[in-house]
Amino acid sequence: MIKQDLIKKTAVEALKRAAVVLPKDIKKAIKDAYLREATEIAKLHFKALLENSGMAERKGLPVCGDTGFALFYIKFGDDVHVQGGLSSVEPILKEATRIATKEIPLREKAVHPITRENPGTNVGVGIPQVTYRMTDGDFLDLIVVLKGGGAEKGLYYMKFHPFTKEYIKTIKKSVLDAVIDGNIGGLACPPNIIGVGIGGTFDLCTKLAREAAVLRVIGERHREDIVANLESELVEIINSMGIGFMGMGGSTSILDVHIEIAYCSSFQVPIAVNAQCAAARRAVARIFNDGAVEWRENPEWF
Amino acid sequence: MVLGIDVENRKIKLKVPLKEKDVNQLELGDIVYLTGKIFSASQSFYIRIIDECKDPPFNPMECNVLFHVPPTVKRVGDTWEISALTPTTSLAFEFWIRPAIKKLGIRAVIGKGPLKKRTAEAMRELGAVYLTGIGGWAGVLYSSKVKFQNVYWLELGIPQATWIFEAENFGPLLVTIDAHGHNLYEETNTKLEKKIRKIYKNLGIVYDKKLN
Repeated sequence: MIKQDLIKKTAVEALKRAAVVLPKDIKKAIKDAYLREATEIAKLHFKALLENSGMAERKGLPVCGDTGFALFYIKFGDDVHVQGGLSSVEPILKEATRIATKEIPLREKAVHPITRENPGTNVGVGIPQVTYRMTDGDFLDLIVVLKGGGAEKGLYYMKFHPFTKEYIKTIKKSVLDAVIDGNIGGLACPPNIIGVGIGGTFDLCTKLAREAAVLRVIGERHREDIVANLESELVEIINSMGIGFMGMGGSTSILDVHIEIAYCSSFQVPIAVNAQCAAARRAVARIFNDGAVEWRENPEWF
Repeated sequence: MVLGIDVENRKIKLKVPLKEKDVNQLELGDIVYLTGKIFSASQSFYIRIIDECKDPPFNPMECNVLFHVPPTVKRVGDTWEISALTPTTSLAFEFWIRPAIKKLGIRAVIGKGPLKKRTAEAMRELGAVYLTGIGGWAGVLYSSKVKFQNVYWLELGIPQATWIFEAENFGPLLVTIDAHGHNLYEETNTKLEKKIRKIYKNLGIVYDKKLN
């Protein structure tokens, strides 16, 4: 049985790892960008980022001051046993967020949407958000994503009719338009990971866009070839725009494009775009029934 | 022109309070390091100073560098540790920037992302520059160059309070709007737009954006 204390301890540790240590694939992507960039300013930007992530790890401080909103993604194994039952997990995650906000610290970001009062804990109605999924196994996967505020710019949702053969062009235009809205001038902290949802209903489509942005590792392609090819094509097109780090010009405009799909009406193509900023922070822990904790790189959410 | 500049020769160290001649010499693409007092501002600061006509809680003659940053800080005993400093989007405050420069005699605004023509115009008239961080969100790199000096209006919450930092060689900061009306964001966008139009055309899709 997994003790409640272990979940709390692991959740605080996951928040800390996410805030302080960039995932390996992101660090590599930043290093590759540094080596690839041709102009001095672009090189200086990426060099500063490398220096910054080294300092953050040495000092145990958040790699970016905007520690964002904590998003928890929890996968329950069929045979997992949690002390107090599965419903006890969510209050534990709230408590862990409260502790982590003071200890790490995290930016005290969350306010009441109408009164604007700030409890200073990053805990309130509806947040931190927790998403659940089931799987087989005797473990619980605890995935933490820190979603920066910058990358909530350039959001996009639209439905169009696929009545001409050119509807793939409309999909591409949707993604490129969203990239321009979010990344020109560096608003969404480019280079981003662009997440695209195609299909589903309004809520499913936007959910897929966000999960695509935050829950896949760099370079991981979609399971279906036709989707994977569209991802690769969009990566190439967007990088050729030359937007660069923080919109200041350069050859690295995005880190990757991830698309997730769901079936939809034959009369419509819903499409949503969301992004994760260059500080694409996440941590993944697998907690087993016997109390063992395994830290992993890939969320393997899909 | 910033791309391809000789970066090593464009590093400039300045003391705060900045004088008009300090900022007049700066050109787009210069890399600046600041030593002295700088203060944080979010919308609550502007509302109090401009909309409600209150006086600033510090002496703006000594501290004339405004930084759009909700700091990430930790209370330690009776002082504060500045853990990470990542600027927030300046555009959200653009409406207030001209009156704030005028009222407080600000010589430099530090922030994230573009500011438009009207701010470049205000900076030309009033003698100020806009600086953005090299490395953008590199929060620890920037927090390592400052110490906590004071905090006012903490009842607004940590991100919205007015923080005074004692900075030492705070940078590298890139000059993105100079005191002569030049705007690096506008110049970069003009070039990007040309490129992006061509990409859309080759893909056979309509370009209906406007970057500046």
